[in-house]
Amino acid sequence: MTDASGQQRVPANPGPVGGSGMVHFERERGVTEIRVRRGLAHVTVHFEAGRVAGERLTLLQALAAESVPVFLVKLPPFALSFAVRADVVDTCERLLSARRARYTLLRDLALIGVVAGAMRDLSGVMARIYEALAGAGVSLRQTGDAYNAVLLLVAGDEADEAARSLRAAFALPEQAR
Amino acid sequence: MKILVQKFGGTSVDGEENRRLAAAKVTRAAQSGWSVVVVVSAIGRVGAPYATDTLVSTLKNVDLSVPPARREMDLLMACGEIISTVILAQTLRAQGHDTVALTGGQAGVRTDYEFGNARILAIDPRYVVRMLEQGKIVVVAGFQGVTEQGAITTLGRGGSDTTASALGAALKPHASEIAVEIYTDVDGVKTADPRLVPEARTLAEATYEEVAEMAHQGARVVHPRAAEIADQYGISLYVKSTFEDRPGTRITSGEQLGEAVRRRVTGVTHTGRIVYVRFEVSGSGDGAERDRAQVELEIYRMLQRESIAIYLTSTGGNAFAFAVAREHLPRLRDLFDGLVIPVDVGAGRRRKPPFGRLYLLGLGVGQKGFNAQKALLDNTAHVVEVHAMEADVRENCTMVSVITTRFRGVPGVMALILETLTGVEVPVYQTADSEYSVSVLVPEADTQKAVRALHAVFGLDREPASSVAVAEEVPAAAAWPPGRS
Repeated sequence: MTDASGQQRVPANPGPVGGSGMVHFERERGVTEIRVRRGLAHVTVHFEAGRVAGERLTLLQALAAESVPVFLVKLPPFALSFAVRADVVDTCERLLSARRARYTLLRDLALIGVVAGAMRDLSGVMARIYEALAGAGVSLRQTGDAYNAVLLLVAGDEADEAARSLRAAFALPEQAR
Repeated sequence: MKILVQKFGGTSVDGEENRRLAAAKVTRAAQSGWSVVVVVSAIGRVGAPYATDTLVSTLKNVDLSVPPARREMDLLMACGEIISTVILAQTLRAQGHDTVALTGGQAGVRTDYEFGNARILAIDPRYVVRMLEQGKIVVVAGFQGVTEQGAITTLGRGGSDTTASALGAALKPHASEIAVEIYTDVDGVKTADPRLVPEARTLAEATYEEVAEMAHQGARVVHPRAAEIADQYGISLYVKSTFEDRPGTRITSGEQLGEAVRRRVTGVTHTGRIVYVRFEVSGSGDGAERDRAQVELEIYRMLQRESIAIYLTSTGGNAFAFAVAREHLPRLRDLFDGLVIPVDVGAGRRRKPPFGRLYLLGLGVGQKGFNAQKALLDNTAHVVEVHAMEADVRENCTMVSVITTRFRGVPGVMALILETLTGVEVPVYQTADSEYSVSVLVPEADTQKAVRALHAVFGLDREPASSVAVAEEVPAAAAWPPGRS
């Protein structure tokens, strides 16, 4: 249950006890907030078959040596994909070019966080997310999950629509601008 | 009035000796000037006469074809905690304490109507406070509450931890000092499972987020529901052993723990019994990506209908993947073997075939449904495109997770993890990361090797001051942790 700013609010007094001694507790189960973080890029680097594991490791080490933090790291067959912040994307691209890597780079992406308590105990969150995004015509570039959130990488110009559709799908109020 | 909530799990109150040890903890707290509220789980494990599983089994066996009403099921499931509450209260009374045993409802725990997985809406602590003011030790049945109409409900996973944490929060306004202790069979939150890593340390302190992520990634620690309430109300939780006298682990906010733990590696967890499933749509480009999204949506809808939780999700291009608990694999096979997902069928005003695409799913092993459907669908190939989609299923996997704080800002963590696992010849099938953890999917047979190697490389067997806290900027994988040559 959230207020207009997306913050959790206490539920109304549910029972007959009432009075000043009553303390209110657990959050609504399920999704409580949609967060948007902009200014990200997504990189997919392709490798030749047979040397994939070694190439992945070498590239990650090279990125670390250049102080480039990477996240949403995935291991597709014969490839490595990851997200980076906009402030290091040029460094990342220079490094990939210098290594003559075969890669695709998508700029101007946004990370949508679908926040929920105890995510592992929930089922169906992903289906509702996909339904909402499909209905809004938003393409997903990558996904991730933590104990309290599903993470969705989308195009930056689709982020507002993605957030709006997700808030609608999970009956959350539209965030005040 | 200083109030201490002490929660004892099932093993802590199972048997006379264990109850004596639990009672000693209560006695010591009372003698130290605390007003004590004890929260108790049900006694015993599967097969014990009053264990919750035994009671539920008895109920179901009345007639296997008629499922019990959820309301009545909760009424029965609440009995285990009530029995242990009364027995522990009597144990304390026999030692000379003035005690009172309360059900969750009597302790003021009010819930919604979600039988079997109820949510605590509120607690009216006044009766508990009155009993404490009279000098009594209050023993409360965990895992349960009552609805507005007085129906008994149970709280689902982590229910007793949640009861303890919520009672702590409810009693806080009435206390000059408040703390919640969760007693279990280990002496706190460990840096790894000591059965795999004997050198695993007990963390002196951990944040709410760290323990919540550890639980998410498979460790047996405080349930995230309890941590969340404690975080929300600023309650310090302590995880301690019933069977030893050690300080245990204090769980509190990152702000309270200070800069030293703002960015660090806390532990290595593992979740066994995972199946990782990867589907790939044939072709490439926008068309394949659109079809992938449609197929993915339909599969997630089916999993939603079956209440099967997924994690370690990955998507993009023409492929998507997810993990489920291995216990769900037979159901997954039932659902997906031979499943046909139509995409774009009948859409638009096409005058010539193909009139859309059919994706025929297979999930390995036998694939009777897949083969039967394929034979039928081959006859329709002149009107629709038929695409076989056989999943890559990795059955014997485990997920090993490095629990971190603020992973995203630190370069080199993933590189070091892969470097370490490559060094001990553990193949990595997939990775996942969040603000709080970096996970790798590895063969189950390599679990111990992977956990031990990662535990060592992050210096978790050493004291925090020398190795666990991590500097703001780590220039390269080789520099993690600081001081590593």
